[in-house]
Amino acid sequence: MDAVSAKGLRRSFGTFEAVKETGFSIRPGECYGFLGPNGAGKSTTIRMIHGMLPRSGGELNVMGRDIDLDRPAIKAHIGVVSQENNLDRDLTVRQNLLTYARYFEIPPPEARRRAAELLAFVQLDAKADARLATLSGGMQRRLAIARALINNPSLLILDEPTTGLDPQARHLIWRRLNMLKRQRITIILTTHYMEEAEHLCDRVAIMNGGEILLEGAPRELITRQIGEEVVELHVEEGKMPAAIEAVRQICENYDVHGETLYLYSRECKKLAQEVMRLEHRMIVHRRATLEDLFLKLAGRTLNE
Amino acid sequence: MNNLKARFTGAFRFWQRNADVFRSHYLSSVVGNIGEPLLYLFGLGAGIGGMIEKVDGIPYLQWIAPGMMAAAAMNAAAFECTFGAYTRMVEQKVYEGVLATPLEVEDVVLGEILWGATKGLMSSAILLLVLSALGLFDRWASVPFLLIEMALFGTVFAALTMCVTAVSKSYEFFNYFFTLFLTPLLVFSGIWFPVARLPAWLSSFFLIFPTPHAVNIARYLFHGGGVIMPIIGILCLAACAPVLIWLAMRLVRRRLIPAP
Repeated sequence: MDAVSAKGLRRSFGTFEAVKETGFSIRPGECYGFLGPNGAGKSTTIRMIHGMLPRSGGELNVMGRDIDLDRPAIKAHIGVVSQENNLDRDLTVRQNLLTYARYFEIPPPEARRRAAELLAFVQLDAKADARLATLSGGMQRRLAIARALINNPSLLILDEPTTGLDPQARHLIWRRLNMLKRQRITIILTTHYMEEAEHLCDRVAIMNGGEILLEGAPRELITRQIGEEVVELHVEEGKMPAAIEAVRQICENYDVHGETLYLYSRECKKLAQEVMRLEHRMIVHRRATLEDLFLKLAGRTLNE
Repeated sequence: MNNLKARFTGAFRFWQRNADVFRSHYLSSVVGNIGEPLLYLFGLGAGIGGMIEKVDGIPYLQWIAPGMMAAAAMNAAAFECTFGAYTRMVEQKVYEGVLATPLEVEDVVLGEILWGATKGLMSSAILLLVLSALGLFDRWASVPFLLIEMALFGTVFAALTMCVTAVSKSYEFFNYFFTLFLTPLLVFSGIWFPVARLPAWLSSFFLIFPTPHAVNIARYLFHGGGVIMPIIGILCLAACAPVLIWLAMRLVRRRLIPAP
């Protein structure tokens, strides 16, 4: 049984179609990422999955049951870290967990045990009795993750878990999420950090304009669409047309974003050497990333 | 039946959340909630009471005491379910967090209303204690009925204000609510003077609101007298409570969960 399966899933707000006829299935124990720019429909999709938004049409089963029909029972097995901080600011760190446990009807002794365990897991045990206002952004996000785990969920949903955090805080959260992955918890996340998706996700769905454009394992998608490597050419202002003219002779597959030319090829080493002979000195030859894939897709859809 | 049990369990969990927060700063809340009625009691009692002496054969201070109890319940419930609830719903996004648990919008709204009613009950009960200590109340047999009445009136008023909060766009909106709605109720509900002094159309008009009824019931339980208006009052409050609770649930759901 899939952890989540959607068919023809739609959601509109008035005349605006936030999610258009989307289908996907998420397997138990996998980490599945929704990627895309703001307004792509990622958050709307996952808000439908955890029962915060009723759908406009289509099918949506979570743990084998229709989420809109069986909401409270399904929600008992889901943990949610939402994009906006909605921790309870009137309560201390520990009280946040204990109060949340009560909403799940977890008996107090068990709740206290789990709270202690989870505070250690997210490295907040020293802050247990602190007020929320004294916590940094990274700490609050960690507390939100601990709170989402209080009911031992089999499905954890994170809406942009590391947006706005510094690199150190982000890596700490990644390490924790990787530990959860090893425990076979199904994880669904949205992000617009390509690095995050590559780092955490077994599979990703790339969304734009309310639709899933591509779906698959990150590396596979990149290799299939871009190749293994990319040559970046940083062009001086005003010299782009000339650069494109010169590059066209040696590589047909390229994209332009701002002042940078991206060249895609199966044989990047050779390509890089040829490009070096051109006048442009700012050349980067590197491994292809999801970001390249994304820019390529975004460029294409924007051109339409 | 099971659904109803689950609803009240969920509501109780949210009620507990509010009670926990209250316990950590109850002193300031209590001072605020009973400070104002006490001010009125002494100010108006000494000032106006000195000129009037008796209403319907009852000394003025004793005559206004039951109305003040109702006013205390009304104010406490209204404050809790406007500024308090709005802060939790909009500013702090507490509801959003709770909705990711098995609790539903309706559980949260019911919990919020019952908490508002609890605050109203606490304020009026504390006022009753003060009135007793001052020798302005000594009908002990009435105490349980008064408390039940204040709990019911608090529930009605909390539900009513919760409806206002559900459609409020900002804190400023509550200024209108308090000046254009709550203040007239305080003035024309028979708290400070008999409504018989008002033009009949005005006093009858105010009977569509819960406050005059609550005052009639409380005054009967304090001083006895005509029984018809108190009975009508009880029926009105009991009938209003479920309707207003239902409406508050509908309005908050509409606000938080955009319909497909």
